[in-house]
Amino acid sequence: MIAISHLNKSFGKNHILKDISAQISPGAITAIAGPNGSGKTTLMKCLLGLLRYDSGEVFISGHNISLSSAYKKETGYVPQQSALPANLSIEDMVSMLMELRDATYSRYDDLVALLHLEGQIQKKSSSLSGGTRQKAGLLLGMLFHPSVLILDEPLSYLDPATSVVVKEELLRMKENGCTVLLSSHNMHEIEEIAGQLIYILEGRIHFSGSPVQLMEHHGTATLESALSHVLKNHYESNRQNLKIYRA
Amino acid sequence: MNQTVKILKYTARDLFRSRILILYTLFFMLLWAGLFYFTNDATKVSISLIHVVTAVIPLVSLIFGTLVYYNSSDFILFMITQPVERRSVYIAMNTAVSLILSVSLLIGLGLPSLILGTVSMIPLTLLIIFTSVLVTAVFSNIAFFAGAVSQDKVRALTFVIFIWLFFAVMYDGIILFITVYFYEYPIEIPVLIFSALNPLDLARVILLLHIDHSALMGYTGALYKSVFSGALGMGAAFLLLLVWFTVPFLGGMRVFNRRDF
Repeated sequence: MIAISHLNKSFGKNHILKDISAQISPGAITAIAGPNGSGKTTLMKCLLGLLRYDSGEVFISGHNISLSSAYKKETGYVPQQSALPANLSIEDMVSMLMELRDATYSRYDDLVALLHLEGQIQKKSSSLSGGTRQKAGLLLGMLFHPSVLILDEPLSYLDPATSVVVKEELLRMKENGCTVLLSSHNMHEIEEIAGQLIYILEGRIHFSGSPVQLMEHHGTATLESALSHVLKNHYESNRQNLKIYRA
Repeated sequence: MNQTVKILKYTARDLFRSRILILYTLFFMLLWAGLFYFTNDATKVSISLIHVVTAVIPLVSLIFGTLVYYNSSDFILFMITQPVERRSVYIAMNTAVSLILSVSLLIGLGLPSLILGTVSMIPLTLLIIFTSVLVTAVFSNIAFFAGAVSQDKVRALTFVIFIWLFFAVMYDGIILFITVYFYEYPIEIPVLIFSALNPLDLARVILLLHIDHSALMGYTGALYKSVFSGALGMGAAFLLLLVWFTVPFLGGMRVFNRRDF
């Protein structure tokens, strides 16, 4: 469970996140979407403890993340870019994480098989392809049965077959009560697996609900069309406001 | 501490496999062997080496440290999302850079000394290696400080190259200018303080005080020798070099602990 309350974050004079409040329920896949520069990466970084927010509160699995880092034990993170150092293998990285967490049990074997990484785990990271590195990122994020899984564009470099496997795995984790939060630009992907959508525009939550709800509201058959309506309306209303302001 | 050691083990393993380190080790081996080839005078060899130590080692430590920091940015980011103190990540990465460069120096300088050197050269060789390791640590700390402060790799690299130019090239000129311009005033103590602000001057003074080659000691070295006796001067210079080690290290860690990623 992730609870965000009145979250604000600025970089200098740029107010990036403006009073963000949201509840991300366990047992659901929630997608964060929005145009470039809307603030979705900033929001995810705040949740991961990479950015210190100016005001507001974030609770992950009941822990206030600005007061305790205990939530990190229960949180898995899958970055878009590989986090593997050039001369370490996937196996090295797994060993390090296991040692750091004093873990005796993980999903290592299961995930290696699931992601078809058998021949790759001992190779130096610099010799792995972009797709394999993304699979390694997925493996590291899912390794310790996280109760919260945060993924940044998790399927962007994957081949269609692996993409299907990963989507199925995310749905299975959701069924087991995991809170899955992912950011994506691929609306088809969101439509397929996400039960909830948080759409951010200019640092504010513009829509929060199910993708189906949004499509019905705009009378469109796809999420992509619904969101293009949202954007069009938003920019139109901005133009109107500017005209009123100038007048 | 335990977490720091665990991260250090893997980051050092990663960096040990870097080809640049093999080149760095070979460079010192060939240099040491080359110097022995051209002259058998141990003092001359040591003096030539001191000049290299105070020019090449800081430059390599600064550039290598900065590149490691930025090339590991995704790894650093990932590690911060793990149940690990930020401090542990910083200490482990910074120490790994100093450690592997120091091991390269130890092999690059130590091995030729064992094969080509004489027994009488052992104390000076050990002092050169020890001082080189300290200089490596000081400048790796400065590189990591630059990395922690700036999110921009080019800006950080520009900063560290300027630091090297300033301490290795410009600083002596500034001191010379001051001594010439204010020659009528009692400027010994200010110049002594000024030289303590340059870690490379300190390293040079430590080594030249040991050789006791006054002609090469320069103005600041001669001052050290006159104010402190040889051993006291070396001790004072070592202490000041330790301050140079500590300040950027703690400063960088403080920034790293508080910064946004």
